[in-house]
Amino acid sequence: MSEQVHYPDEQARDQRGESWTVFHAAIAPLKREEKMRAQRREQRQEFWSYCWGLVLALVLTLVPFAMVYWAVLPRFSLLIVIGVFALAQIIVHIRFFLRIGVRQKREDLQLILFSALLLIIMVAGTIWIMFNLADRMSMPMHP
Amino acid sequence: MSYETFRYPGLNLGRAHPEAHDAAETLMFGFWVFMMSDAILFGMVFGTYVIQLDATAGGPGPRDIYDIKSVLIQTMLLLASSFTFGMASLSNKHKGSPPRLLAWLVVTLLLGVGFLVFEVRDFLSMFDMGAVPSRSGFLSAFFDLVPLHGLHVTCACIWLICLVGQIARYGLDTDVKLSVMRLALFWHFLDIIWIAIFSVVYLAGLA
Repeated sequence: MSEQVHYPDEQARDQRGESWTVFHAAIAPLKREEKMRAQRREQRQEFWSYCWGLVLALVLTLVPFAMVYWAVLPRFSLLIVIGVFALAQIIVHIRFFLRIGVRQKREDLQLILFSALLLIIMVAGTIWIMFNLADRMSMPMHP
Repeated sequence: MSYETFRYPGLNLGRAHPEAHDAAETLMFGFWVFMMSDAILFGMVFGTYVIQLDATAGGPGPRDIYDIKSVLIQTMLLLASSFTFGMASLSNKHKGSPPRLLAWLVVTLLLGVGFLVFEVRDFLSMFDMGAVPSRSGFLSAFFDLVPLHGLHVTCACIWLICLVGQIARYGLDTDVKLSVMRLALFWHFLDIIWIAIFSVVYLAGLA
């Protein structure tokens, strides 16, 4: 992180002598330049990542919207298409806007997976139980 | 010292601002825990909405009250605001220049307020049609879910205004930077909730 060279101890520094210090002083500007270049590269990559996110999100929004607007498919197939596009767009947002990737720290990923598990159990469970209940009480629900 | 892995959700500061990068790890994780609990709250409200879909009690249903064009405009406004907040995060990370960051934040704020204006207009026209929360189970669930998201967006806008004030007053110090990063997470998270509302409530309701 820091620009200076850290020697293991003073004795080692003495053994390496003056020329070592001079060498590092000489290459310091080169190292700074390299660091700047790496930062600019990173900035460019991040900018394009946000652009990709925007383009993908637009496509994933507009395609199902157009399909619903012009009713190109029967209702049941439309619902499946809407679900698939919504899931894809959520993944795109998580990847490109929230910037969570496969190289994420382990705690973050575990938290996401655990929350997803809770969501699936609670939401899908609620819907399943309530529809089953309505069915058994002969009060059919058609969402 | 691995800059390559993402140490916390959101745009990692990395070598651009090492002190804040270290401080961010705990803060961002804590905020992420809050957001996941918020996601579970939203999930349960979604569940309620789905099981109440058929409970219109003879009142107006989805096809009668949803205005698909207004909803598309709201979606585009939120999506654009997510992108502009991304640009704000970039100016927050690289070469902290307050004017550029402020400009992106103000654009984001305007898009967020525009979203809220369209949403409130939709609600008012629904009220005119007699679609009030007390009319049926379906409408109660609808007005539980969609305005809950609107309330979150309102809070995010207030936070954004406070942040603009902080940047004007204190400049881009570590605390302000970390606050921008947490609001960025929250803003993108609200956009994800909106995808679910757009798909489950509006598109599926009109399919």
